[in-house]
Amino acid sequence: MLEVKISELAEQMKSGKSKNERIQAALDLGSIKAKEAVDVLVEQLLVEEDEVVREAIVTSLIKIGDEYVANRAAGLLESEDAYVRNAGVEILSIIGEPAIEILQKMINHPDRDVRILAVNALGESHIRETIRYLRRVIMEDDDENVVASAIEYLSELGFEKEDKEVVMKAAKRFSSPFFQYTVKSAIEKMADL
Amino acid sequence: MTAEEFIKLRDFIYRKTGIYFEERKKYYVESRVEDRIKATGHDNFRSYFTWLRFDVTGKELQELINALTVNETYFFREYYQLKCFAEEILPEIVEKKSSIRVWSAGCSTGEEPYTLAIIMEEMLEGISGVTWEVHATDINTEVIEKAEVGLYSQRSVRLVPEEYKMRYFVAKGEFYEIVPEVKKKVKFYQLNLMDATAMRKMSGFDVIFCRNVLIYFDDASRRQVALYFYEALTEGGYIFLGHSESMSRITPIFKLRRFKNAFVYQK
Repeated sequence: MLEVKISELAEQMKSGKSKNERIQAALDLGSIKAKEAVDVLVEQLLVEEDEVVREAIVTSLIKIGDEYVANRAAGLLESEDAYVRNAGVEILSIIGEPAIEILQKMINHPDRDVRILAVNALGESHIRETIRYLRRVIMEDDDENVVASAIEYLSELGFEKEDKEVVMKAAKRFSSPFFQYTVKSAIEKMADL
Repeated sequence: MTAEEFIKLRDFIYRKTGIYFEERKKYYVESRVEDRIKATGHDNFRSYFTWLRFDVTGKELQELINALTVNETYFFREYYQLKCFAEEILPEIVEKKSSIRVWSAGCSTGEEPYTLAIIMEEMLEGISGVTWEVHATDINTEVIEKAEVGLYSQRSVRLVPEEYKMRYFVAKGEFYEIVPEVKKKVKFYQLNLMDATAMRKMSGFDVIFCRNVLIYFDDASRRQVALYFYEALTEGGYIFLGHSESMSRITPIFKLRRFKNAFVYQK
């Protein structure tokens, strides 16, 4: 019964008579907490060209917001399409806790652009472990852009002396003016630690 | 609150809501944050901010935003937006159609929808064949009841031009009551902006005013409401948000249109 409903809504979302009907179907799929609903939403997001239907799909994925969504959203970070990548970041950061395990993996992804997106998702999230992961990225990642992103977030989130020390130590890791400026700004923000 | 703590909090609020507090507002922010620190049982900013930052429910952010945003409502609030509506948007709509529908979403005690009704009465009076209506909704039934009564303090009507005050209000002691001709043009009803079934009944609106309402929603709900508004608007319809709110931060589905008097989002 549920499968029928999902496939009906999926069909409406793909080829509904009007745009409103397609938007409504995408939003209605967000009320069904089932893997099959997540799959049809993600598959459609990858091919969807209408901006509003895309937004409805992202909204629904956030609404379902479980670990399965997090895993599928992590895959979006590797997309060639900037909208899809950003949607992945947004979904992962907003759903929070269910995304923690996959984000932990994504900060070790071989592609540095994906790692930056994972850091963005962590930094924007409400996940408590964020600080620990940001520190690890700052100390261990070998790409200065990834480390700089993590420093920016840690300067906002860090309230421990140790956070500031991690940033100060990182200053020695890369010498480019961009990186040094990022470190300087972060330390200024953390002046009272 | 130290200067660094203020910057951390300010940046966080800005990223989450688009509301930006300048340095000169530090004292204002500080006093309200202190109230929230006490109310939540924390004893310092650091512990409060950490808790706020990692609050999954987003409830405390909402409470803080409530405390930081003045909830006061009054007639002819944010005049430049109303001027834009009256002098730029309404004439554009009238050129295309003869029946105009406007929605005040989150109307509170009625000051906004009655202001819109007064403006429409003034601007559309004498244009033959044009009909219009204002729908006004709020989740809170108590404010709807007050709005239907239409009785306002001097403070509420302080920005109403004297000429309009004479024409559209009746003085009742210390209060002012909206005249029945305007009252009957505004349809008040309770509505939850997150209720999918109810929201889908809202359609065919040319303009939606939803000012200083979406700041109280979390990210996911705000996106959802924006999509419902999209469905409720006619093609090319407009949406007004509060001056410190940004639809572009919620969703890219509306175009930002620059008028002489204000920026407005368009479907």
